[in-house]
Amino acid sequence: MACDKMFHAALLCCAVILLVSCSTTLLLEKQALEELSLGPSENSETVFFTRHFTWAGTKSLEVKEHRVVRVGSHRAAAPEVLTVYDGLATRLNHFEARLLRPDGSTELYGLSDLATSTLSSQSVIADWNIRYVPLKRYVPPGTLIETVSNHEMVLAALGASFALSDVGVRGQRINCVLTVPRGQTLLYQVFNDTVAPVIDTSAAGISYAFRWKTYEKDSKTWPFKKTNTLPEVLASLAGSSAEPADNQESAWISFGNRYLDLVESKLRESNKLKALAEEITRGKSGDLEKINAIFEYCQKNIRYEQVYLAFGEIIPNDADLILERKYGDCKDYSLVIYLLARSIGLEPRLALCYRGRGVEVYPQIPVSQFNHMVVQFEHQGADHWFDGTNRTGIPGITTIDLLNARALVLERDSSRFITIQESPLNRLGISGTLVPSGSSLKGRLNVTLAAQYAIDFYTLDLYLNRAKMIESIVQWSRRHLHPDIEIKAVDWKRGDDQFQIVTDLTIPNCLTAVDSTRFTSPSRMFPSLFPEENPADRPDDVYFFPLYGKVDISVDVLRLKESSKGQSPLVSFSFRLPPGPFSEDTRPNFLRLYKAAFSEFTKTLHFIQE
Amino acid sequence: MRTIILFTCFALIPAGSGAQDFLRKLPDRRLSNQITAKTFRNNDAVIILKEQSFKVEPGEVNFKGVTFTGLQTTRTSIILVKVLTEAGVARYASFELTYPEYFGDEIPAGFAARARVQKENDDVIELPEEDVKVIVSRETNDGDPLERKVLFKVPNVTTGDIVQIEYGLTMPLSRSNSGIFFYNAADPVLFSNLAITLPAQTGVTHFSLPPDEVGNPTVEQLSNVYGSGKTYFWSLKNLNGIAEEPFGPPFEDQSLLTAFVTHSHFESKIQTSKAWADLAEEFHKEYLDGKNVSEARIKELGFSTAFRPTTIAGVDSLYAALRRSISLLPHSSLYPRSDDIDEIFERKKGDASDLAYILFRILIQRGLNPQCAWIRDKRNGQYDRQIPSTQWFDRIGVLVALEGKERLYAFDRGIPATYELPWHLRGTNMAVIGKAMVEHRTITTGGFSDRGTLGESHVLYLGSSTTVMDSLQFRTTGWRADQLRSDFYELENSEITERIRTMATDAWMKDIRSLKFNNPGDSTAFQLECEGASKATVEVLDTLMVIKPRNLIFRWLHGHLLSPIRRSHILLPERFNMTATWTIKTPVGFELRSTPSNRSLRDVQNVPASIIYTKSPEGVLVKATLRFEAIAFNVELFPAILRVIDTVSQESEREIVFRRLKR
Repeated sequence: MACDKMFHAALLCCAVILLVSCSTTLLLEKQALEELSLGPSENSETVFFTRHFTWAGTKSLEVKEHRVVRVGSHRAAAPEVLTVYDGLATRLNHFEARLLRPDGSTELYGLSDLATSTLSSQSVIADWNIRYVPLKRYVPPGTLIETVSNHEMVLAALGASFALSDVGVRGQRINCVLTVPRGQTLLYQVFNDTVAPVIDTSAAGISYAFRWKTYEKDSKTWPFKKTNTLPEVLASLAGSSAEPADNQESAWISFGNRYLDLVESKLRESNKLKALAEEITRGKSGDLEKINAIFEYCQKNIRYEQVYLAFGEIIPNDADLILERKYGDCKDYSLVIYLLARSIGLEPRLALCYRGRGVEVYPQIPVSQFNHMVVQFEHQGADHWFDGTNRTGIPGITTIDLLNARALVLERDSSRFITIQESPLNRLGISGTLVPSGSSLKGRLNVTLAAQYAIDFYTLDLYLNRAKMIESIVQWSRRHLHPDIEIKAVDWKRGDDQFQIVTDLTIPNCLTAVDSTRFTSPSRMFPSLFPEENPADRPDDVYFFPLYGKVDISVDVLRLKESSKGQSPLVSFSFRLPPGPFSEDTRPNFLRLYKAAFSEFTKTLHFIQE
Repeated sequence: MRTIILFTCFALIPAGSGAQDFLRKLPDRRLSNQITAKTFRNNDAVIILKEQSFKVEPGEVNFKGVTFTGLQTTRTSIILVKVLTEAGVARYASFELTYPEYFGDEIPAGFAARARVQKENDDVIELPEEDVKVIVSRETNDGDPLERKVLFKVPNVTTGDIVQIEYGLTMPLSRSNSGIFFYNAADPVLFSNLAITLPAQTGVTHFSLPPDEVGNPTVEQLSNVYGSGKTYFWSLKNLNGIAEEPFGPPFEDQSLLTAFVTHSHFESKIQTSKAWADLAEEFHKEYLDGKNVSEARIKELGFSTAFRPTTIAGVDSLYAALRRSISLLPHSSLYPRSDDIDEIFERKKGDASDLAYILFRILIQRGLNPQCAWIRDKRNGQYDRQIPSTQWFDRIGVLVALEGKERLYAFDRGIPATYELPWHLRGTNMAVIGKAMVEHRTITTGGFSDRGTLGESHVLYLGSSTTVMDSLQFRTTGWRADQLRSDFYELENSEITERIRTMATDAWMKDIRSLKFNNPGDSTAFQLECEGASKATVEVLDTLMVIKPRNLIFRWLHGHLLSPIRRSHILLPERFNMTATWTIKTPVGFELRSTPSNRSLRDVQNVPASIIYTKSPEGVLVKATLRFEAIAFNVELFPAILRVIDTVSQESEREIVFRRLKR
């Protein structure tokens, strides 16, 4: 699914262009470097890392990164090039590198040694480059590679962030320093850690230094786990003294205003847009009906493409250009829906959010943590969401990966967070008739995915040809119902708010025969409806439920009879689990509901063969 | 005739010049209306016209006020396509092309592109010229372009539209003695045209495969102006789409093609390569008769001046030393850097041909008489000996005859340092290069096994709870081991461990207590041992305990092959055996109640399979085997093969029932 990763990356480093600061950076003293040389290991390792954010004002942020890597002895460890990112919004303005080889010789490289390679491709056209230095000689194990780079965060007004994962897979001596001019207020917060900064005041300003001795990426997978669990520092400069730094709500209001300032030139309504909106909504009466019609028009006429020139990763393109080219990304869709709706007197709002389940957005501090934009429209006290991306949305609701996500609704002087509530119509229904065949069950099942559950299938149906669509349905069935399900024939139908799949299939190895008794259970028939892991094993790590949470099963099994009643049995099973994210308060309720549902799911059913 | 003139006009348009007419008209509605998502329901798009033109002609270049005359090469491409799905829109409405700048900004290549879309209501929208982004994609630190990239998005495209893209690329001071052109594409092609224009008095031979399907070209003399030569033109109709499929023959082997080779040149009368022998002579002179490897470098590899390999084992040790000392780059060129041997040693990195050359030279220096061979990875298709061209090949190998045996040494990330012939060269052809001759020979297995293996072996212990402990061994040789070795080549040990741990937890284990694996770079097999809590399920039903084993290998193969529609024949890398065994220990206090029946499957010739249950006092042994005794299978057998794999997978996971002993 399309999702604007770079929008997220770029939003992290915002601000309007100010002075380019080319301060000279000093490399570490040779002695200090040698102290870091702890003898080569097999893997390369970051043995020193500092990222220093320096604000010169609300609109100027420079980031200096100083890193020392000790080259490992593994064949793959010796680098052939040194690389550094250079983009329009994250502009490289200084680079130095030094190699200190085990034999004591050194090599120096500077900005003028950097060659350039673009990151633009068929899928994304953007002002993004990799700058690189081809190394002159083989880099033996034990070599220390020291690099210093300065980037100007051209769109700095939306804050800065540092996560330990930025260091790589593992590292030592990690520092994150935030420096602000004296008299300015820094808003900062640390997440997933209790580290406190060392605060130092000097003539240059006030510095907040966070230090970690070591870091190693935790690669254990756990389906219920929060994705962003690593220590992370978020920071932002208070815009003015009028903004109370300690008030979360007002801080986000300032953030919203700053983003609206950035996109202000794109928000102008025009007669042309008005004429188009009137044409689209002709014959529509209510406000909701009108914005739905605008949404449908954009879905039908604009295709998803990423062209990020001139800060396009952060700022939408002009609405006229989007409508002329008929392509754009999430911001472009949102802008067009927003402007068309406003031009006929409706009052929608742009909203920033993070698309992807399991990621916690921290509303405690006004720093961009977003990778997606949608439109919010309040109607008769209810929030309606419009997400044009992928051209397959349902008016009023978002895709499944925004279930209960926090969205920052942008409005001049009153931006605020709203939770994108799960649609009450979400449902995965499985019904049909099966007959035993050895240890398998065979027959026809109807699978219905309603509301937010249906949107992914709408997308597949639009994008894929028939053969690929069948393949996708088979793969989905194996991933979400039974890993070995065998599908003989499949058909599907798209409705307004639900997607129906009809399959002739075999579910293998789901019946156990002991004499004339047959045992089965919902978990034998559809084991993939629940994760293999049990959340009770690591209750503190349960952040969300990653699968479908609203499920109804009702399957007739012929040629068997229930021992007591003598009728064909109906395997009937339902559960309703909240999607999360869970807090300490809501987690116990989820675990309780999960346990009850899982108990029913695994309950063995005894039947008698006719 | 008109066709050819249009090509000429287009070819001379420099980059950034003003708007030009399209070379081809939009298709007739009577034709395009017949192409619908219903009639082509399993396709994303239908290419109405695929047209390629290749032209070598005299041209002038101005460089610092001086005009040079020389040959230039122009490639022109036209595509007219009806898009039927959004995947088709994504494929054809976004354009990317990269081309090299051999002379930087001093003498730039010429590029021009245009595109338009015809809507279903016959509206035509052209791509604005300014939307064509020609960017420097790679440049030196002095800002000299090394490569440019052309990118654009065709506006206003949706399913049912017809997209037309035309572009021409002129490379100044450039000529080519040979070329290979394919007529098919990933999507069906209704008309596929090819025009090759060469300067006057150029001697040329062309070949087409299969000759009866491609037919002979029409030949036209363009004009009588200075240097103008002949154009050879082919036109084919109704070609199948060739989609990439797992275990499918390569595109290059499925597509119809035409190739040309010149044997004398315009004006200068220079004899160009006309046959394999000429190519060999030139290659020898340019690349193989280069510098020796210094004794110091040979010593670095661990060999004294007295070292003289007289056995295959001796050459193997030299091969292994080279592999361990110098890392292989991911891609290879046919042309070894024979003048940069010291640099290769110093950087400890080289490509397959660099290493082959070093091996070749050392063996010569030690008095052996090795030969170099041009080789082609069969995943890229077979070469055709009718078409003498080095373009077929991607690397050289070294052929050594000793002890009455002959062995081809190839350098590949997929094979261990302890030499093994890579599966993708087995049974394929090579061109053995003599000083002025080429001998086409089949690469024999050279004593190596031509059969791969893939096996998992479990010992399952049931405790009092419903947890099953598993002691697992996984082992693979041949093509699958080669794949894993290639995947791991660039990874550090901690990353490999992580990947293997993930594989084990995805496939078999809930929780891993111990994990060991060998270094696949040093041995023929990749094997791992793992102990922990199994994902095999166990259930207690009254007095019964039911356990269901869990396999990886059959499920993996099934998932890899699974596709509702198969278009190409199946071509396996090699013959291979798959075996999964489970030794299930009877839990204390229980006895084995029943096992499923043994099963033998012979539904598909050359794909035998069986599931055998062997009872013993300690428990039961489940053994599932599946063998591929041939490598090529007709596409009609695809459903049956898939069914066999599925049956083995499911049958091997049937439940084993234990009953509580009566007290």
